[in-house]
Amino acid sequence: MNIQRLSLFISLFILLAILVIGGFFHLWGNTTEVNLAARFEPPGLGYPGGTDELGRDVISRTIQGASLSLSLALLAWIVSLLVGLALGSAAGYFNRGPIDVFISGLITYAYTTPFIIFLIAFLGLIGPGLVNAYVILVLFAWAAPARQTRAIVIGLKDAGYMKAAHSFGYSAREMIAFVVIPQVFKPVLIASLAIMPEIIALDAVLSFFGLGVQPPAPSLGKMIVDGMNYLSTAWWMTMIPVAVLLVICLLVRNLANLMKQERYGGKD
Amino acid sequence: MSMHFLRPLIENIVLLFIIIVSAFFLFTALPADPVRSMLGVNVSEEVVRSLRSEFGLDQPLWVQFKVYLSRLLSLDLGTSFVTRRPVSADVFPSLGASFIYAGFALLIALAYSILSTFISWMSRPVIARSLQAVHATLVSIPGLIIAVAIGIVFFHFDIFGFIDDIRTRQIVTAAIVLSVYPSAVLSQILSQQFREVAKQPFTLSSRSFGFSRTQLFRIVFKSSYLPWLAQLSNIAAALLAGSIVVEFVFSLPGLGRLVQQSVIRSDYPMLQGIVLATSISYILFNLFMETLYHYLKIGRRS
Repeated sequence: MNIQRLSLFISLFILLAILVIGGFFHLWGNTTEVNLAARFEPPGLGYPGGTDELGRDVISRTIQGASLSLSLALLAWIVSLLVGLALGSAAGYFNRGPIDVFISGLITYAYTTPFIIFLIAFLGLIGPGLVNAYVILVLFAWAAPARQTRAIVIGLKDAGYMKAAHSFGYSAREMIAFVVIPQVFKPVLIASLAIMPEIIALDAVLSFFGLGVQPPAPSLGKMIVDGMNYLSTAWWMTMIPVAVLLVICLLVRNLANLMKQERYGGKD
Repeated sequence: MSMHFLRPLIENIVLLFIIIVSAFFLFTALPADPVRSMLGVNVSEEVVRSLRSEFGLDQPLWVQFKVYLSRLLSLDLGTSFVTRRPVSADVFPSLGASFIYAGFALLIALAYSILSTFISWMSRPVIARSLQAVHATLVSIPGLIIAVAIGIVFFHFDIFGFIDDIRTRQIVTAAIVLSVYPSAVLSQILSQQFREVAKQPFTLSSRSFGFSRTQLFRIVFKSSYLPWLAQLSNIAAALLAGSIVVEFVFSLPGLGRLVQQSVIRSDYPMLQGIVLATSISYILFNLFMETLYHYLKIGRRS
């Protein structure tokens, strides 16, 4: 086993561990229980990560919050991948047609304007909540896989098997479903793994604004913002969630890079 | 040649129109009843009706749309439900404040990317490679998270405490915090393209003519800056989004706080105004960047 594959498995293992342990906390832990006798405990033997302003254990809340945002991001990633594949292959297949103009206009809009503001405003409109936040994450994340898919499909146009399938009399929908999407699925899947950190970041941002996971359930973004008020006296309340957020993003990005190398043989 | 300038113009005008229409339907037509959600449930029908007619919400949809369009033409973004003041009176100053952070951050990032490419070009490969590694690490973390993480350190230790004026200190700190991620991205793009161009035969021949290393930098830079410039639109968009988060987290004056307040108070006209103002200003910026890009590209060819 080479070192690359080892690092891939370690990244995957840590992420899964966070997901699973956080899930345990979610089911059986008491991370929302208030204990006013133990407010602002510094990290020590009893509380390895210290406690927050209500005496809740920071480490277990961080892990639970991380697991929650990871699972949310995972779901949003899968759905946005499917949406992006469908829209991107339609746009690429009907390259320069009205469908393409419309879809690539949307993609351009999502990339070149501060789309997040639009999404936050929209979320304010439909009200905060887990499901709504999830819809927003998908609305944010679909553009990257759609753009990648579109670029690949445009490149596929002259491939022999496309012409062959065309000569079989496939309709446009059949071409996209049975020829184009199977061809672009794997590269787009791997490439779009790189947007996972962005989804996690947006999830944190939504909870900064109080629009993501609702309290008392822990979320990394909310923990960071709340901890900012006590930064000078209780640094652990902010620093631990920030560190975990950074580590998760690095691990996911590492995973994405390694999978890309695994597939394309070490080339970028 | 005119096609190069006309196409983005038409595309952006269509995009602008789509945004204006969708902003209208999202914020005016879709929600069940903005007046109800603002006043709560325990209000008599009278009050609701009078308020609705005050904001023109009892008119048919197309009349409202016509009023909305004619208001937009005179840069009037409507009246806030909460403060009863014109939305533009709040949106434009906040947007301006955010643009200042983002703009300075962009300038820092541009300067840094040129500087780091210059340093990698002038110095030994070890330094170039370590700079590359640092940039690669920074790029792999989302910009918003980097900004918040570094901002915590900056604001906590008050590194720029020696600046007396509070406003200047806020701008400097926010701009530096925000510029970290775009600096890394732009440096990566610029130095990658720079290395490609530096391998070209014309670099070698210029070298053989006896140009100094600094002069060579200028020659190679001239043929390698276009992809770097093309990235600016995306970077600028990401910067404003980052700016909003940083402003909100560190409670600086700007768009971030306005967005959050309007979301909490369900102030739909304000949210609509924010979306319209940011989108329109970015479309104008992108149009400018695209035109500049094509201008420079054509200028280089002839």
